[in-house]
Amino acid sequence: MIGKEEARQLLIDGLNSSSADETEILLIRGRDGLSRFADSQIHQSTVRQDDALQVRAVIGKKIGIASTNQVSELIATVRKACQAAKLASEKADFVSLPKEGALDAGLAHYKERTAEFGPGERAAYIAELIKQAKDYKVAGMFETSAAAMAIANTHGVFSFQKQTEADLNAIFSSNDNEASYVFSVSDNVDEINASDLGVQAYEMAELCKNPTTLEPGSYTVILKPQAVAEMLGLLALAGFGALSYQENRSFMNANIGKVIAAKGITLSDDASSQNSLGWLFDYEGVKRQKVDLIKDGMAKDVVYDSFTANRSVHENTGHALPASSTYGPLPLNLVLEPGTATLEELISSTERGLLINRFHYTNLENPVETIFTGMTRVGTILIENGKTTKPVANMRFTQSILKALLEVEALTQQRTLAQSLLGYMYVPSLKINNFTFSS
Amino acid sequence: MEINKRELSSIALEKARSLGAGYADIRIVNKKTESLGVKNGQLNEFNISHDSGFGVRLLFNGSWGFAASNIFSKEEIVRVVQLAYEVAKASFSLKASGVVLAPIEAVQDSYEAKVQINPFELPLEEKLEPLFKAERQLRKNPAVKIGAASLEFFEIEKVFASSEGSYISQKITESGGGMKATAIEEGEVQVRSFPNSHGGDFATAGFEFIQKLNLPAHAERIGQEAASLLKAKACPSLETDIILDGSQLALQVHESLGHPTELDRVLGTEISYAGGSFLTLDKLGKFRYGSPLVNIYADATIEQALGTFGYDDEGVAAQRFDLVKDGILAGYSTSRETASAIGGVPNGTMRADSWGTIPLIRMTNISLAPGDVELEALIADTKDGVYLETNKSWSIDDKRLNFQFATEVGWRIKNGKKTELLKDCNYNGITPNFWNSCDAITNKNYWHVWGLPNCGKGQPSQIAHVAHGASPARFRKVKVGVGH
Repeated sequence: MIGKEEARQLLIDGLNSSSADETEILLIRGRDGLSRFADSQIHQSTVRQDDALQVRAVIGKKIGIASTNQVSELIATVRKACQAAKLASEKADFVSLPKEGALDAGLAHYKERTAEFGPGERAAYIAELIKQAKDYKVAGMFETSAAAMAIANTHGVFSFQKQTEADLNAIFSSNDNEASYVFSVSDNVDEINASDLGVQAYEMAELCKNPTTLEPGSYTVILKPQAVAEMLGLLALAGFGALSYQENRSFMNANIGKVIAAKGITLSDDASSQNSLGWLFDYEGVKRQKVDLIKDGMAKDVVYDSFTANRSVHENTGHALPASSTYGPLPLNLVLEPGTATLEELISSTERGLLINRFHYTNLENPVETIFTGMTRVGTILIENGKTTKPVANMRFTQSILKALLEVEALTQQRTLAQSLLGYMYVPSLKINNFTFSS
Repeated sequence: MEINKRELSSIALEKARSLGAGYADIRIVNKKTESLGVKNGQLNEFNISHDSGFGVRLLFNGSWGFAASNIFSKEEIVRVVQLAYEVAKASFSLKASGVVLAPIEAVQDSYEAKVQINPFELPLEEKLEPLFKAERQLRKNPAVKIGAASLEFFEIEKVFASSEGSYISQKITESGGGMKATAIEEGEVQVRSFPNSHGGDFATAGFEFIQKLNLPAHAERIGQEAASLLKAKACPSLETDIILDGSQLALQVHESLGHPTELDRVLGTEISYAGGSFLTLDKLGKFRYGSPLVNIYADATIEQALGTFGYDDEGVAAQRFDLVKDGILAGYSTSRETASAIGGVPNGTMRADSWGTIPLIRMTNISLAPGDVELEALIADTKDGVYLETNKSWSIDDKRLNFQFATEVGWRIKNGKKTELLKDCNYNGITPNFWNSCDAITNKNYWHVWGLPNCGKGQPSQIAHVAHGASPARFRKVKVGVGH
């Protein structure tokens, strides 16, 4: 794993070789190990180490980007980016690369033991989990990774961070029918308790064997954190970035300053939260600021990178993706403020509804109206008269996310870090009325 | 960096043998990519990338180990093989039964896809010229606020060497592109793409493929359609006959037949992420998947198709095989390991998306065979229905049964004629019910192989380049306008 000074020297050497007016170099060096299991056996296990070097050269308003995974090709890649910039036509709205906002994040979210975790240790964790399964078959994945990211540009910006991640999830199945899904993620592998996860999976599986089918229609739902994260990830993609906002194709265009969710909904992007994971600066090296997207139910703001900030009056909030991306800035560290209820209270206050563990294959059908569709997948339970009664087979929903957020009746105090389309987010469970199932 | 691939392969395989590996292979991959994008009159994207490395896969006591690195040196190759061995040993501690590979003949060969105009050697201006021209035409209608056109080129050189004596080198060049008009008015946003959404159409070919796409010739119409959608009625909610255009049908084949006939999914080894399959082994040869008109086959030898190659990443030759014959489930896409598990033969579908990932069963070119009907006659024969074109959104359950797709555009069909334009179209169904409702497929004049460069599978996630031949077809009594 590369250190800060070695990374700085490498990038400075690259910047010094550039003939462009402005140059930026991004380096990510990482290694990851991933073990997959099915039928209670490890069937795929991989380790990989790689580098990613991306050079953005700017001549006037002309931009060229070149990338390589070979450090030995850095100078040649800088040359390629400069040549590309010379050939390119102007990007009229471009002003400059970032001139401030650098952050030395050092070892934020970095744990040495996670970085050094090996295939034998992963196998031991998986064995602990499988021990709890009794007659259930277990499938899942356990990944541990470490990476360093350094970014430098010719305006003097230099940002550096090392981070680790450990991610374990599992599905218990009986007679080829999935019965439970559990997950745990942290920057510290010691915080993942495989045995406890196995117990949770077993208990959920016992409740969810032999599901019954329900008629489609409108139901009160209690979405557990994994389902909440999947829904909010799509919402963020649909409209919390400044590019879609500036191009008038975001649901936020008509809604800034208006109520778009229940009063209990306060959603922000906050990489600095102690409960977030990931990089504390963006892919231009600018510190990620906390941005309130929805505050007490009211639409507040979207996130910016240097390009979208420079062509508006808004400050750069530090949410750039790598220069090769055309998506524009996006929030990658969503945090939803908690409520005061327990999950048990959400259930006991529900006359008839569904407790939903996770969604599957969600997709947006209409980004402006935030209509998404998808399936429930494993762990859905019917609630009747305040009690969970019987497991329910997978169902398809077609629903506006914003309308669902307006129908939020309560949130739990307890929150969980869950994976979404846009990285990990820290979210509670939500009780939502009138959620529409289409088949 | 110039590397001696034969020498590095030999070092890797020798080291694997010395560690007691029952089988080993190494892939050395070198990949170039160029992306160009024009948006609202400006060059929005110009990226050149290079990616190279090697991956070693080996079997120890019947357990797989895999390790990969981007560093080319003899020392690193030895280290990586040792690492793959350590991984296999760790996996063995949680392995009840050993992997058995179906036998294949060792191959010494090379393969190079035919390219007429190498896109990497063309001057930039020549590549940009059709993009700027098309993009200008897209915005001819003032309601179109965002015009975008893009091209992507890939060049992949790879060597596969195995402990069984195979040594195969391949070079594949791919080109593709498309354009998109976004019309915006009073808070409403409508999109039209050409020739397909999700980046357009792609092929194993050079710049000659881009010339054939002829984006500028279609741009004004596409922009006009995007603008017209703003004023169009929303697709009504009803059960009716639908005709799917070739590109949407290609995605339907992909999601509802391509994935569930991957034998690793059928055997349960992809459950942790994407899911399993409803096409279980007991259904092979007897399950009525679709109406007797439905014939679907895999063919990795179709000239210029995006899923075409010489050999897969286990050294099995590209080939053609049936998946659905006269409506009956007829086969699966297999690997050496999964074929062995069911007493079958590997059919050359194992591909990895890079040196750093393991090969998985991936679709090649999976196509719905054309029927014998003219499109005009099919529409004329439809009393009441909807014609749906160009995918906008897709979702399907973990067993590949319950699906819902949205399209960019639709047209109402009334008394045998395409009538009013419809926006916000979607349809859903249950896979075998849907395919059994197929009562007409248009003929080979309308058949086209659509290249899809974005098929996701596996952990770590891998993106495969695949293709699907399809011509418009009709399906009876399908739910449309779901959720409206």
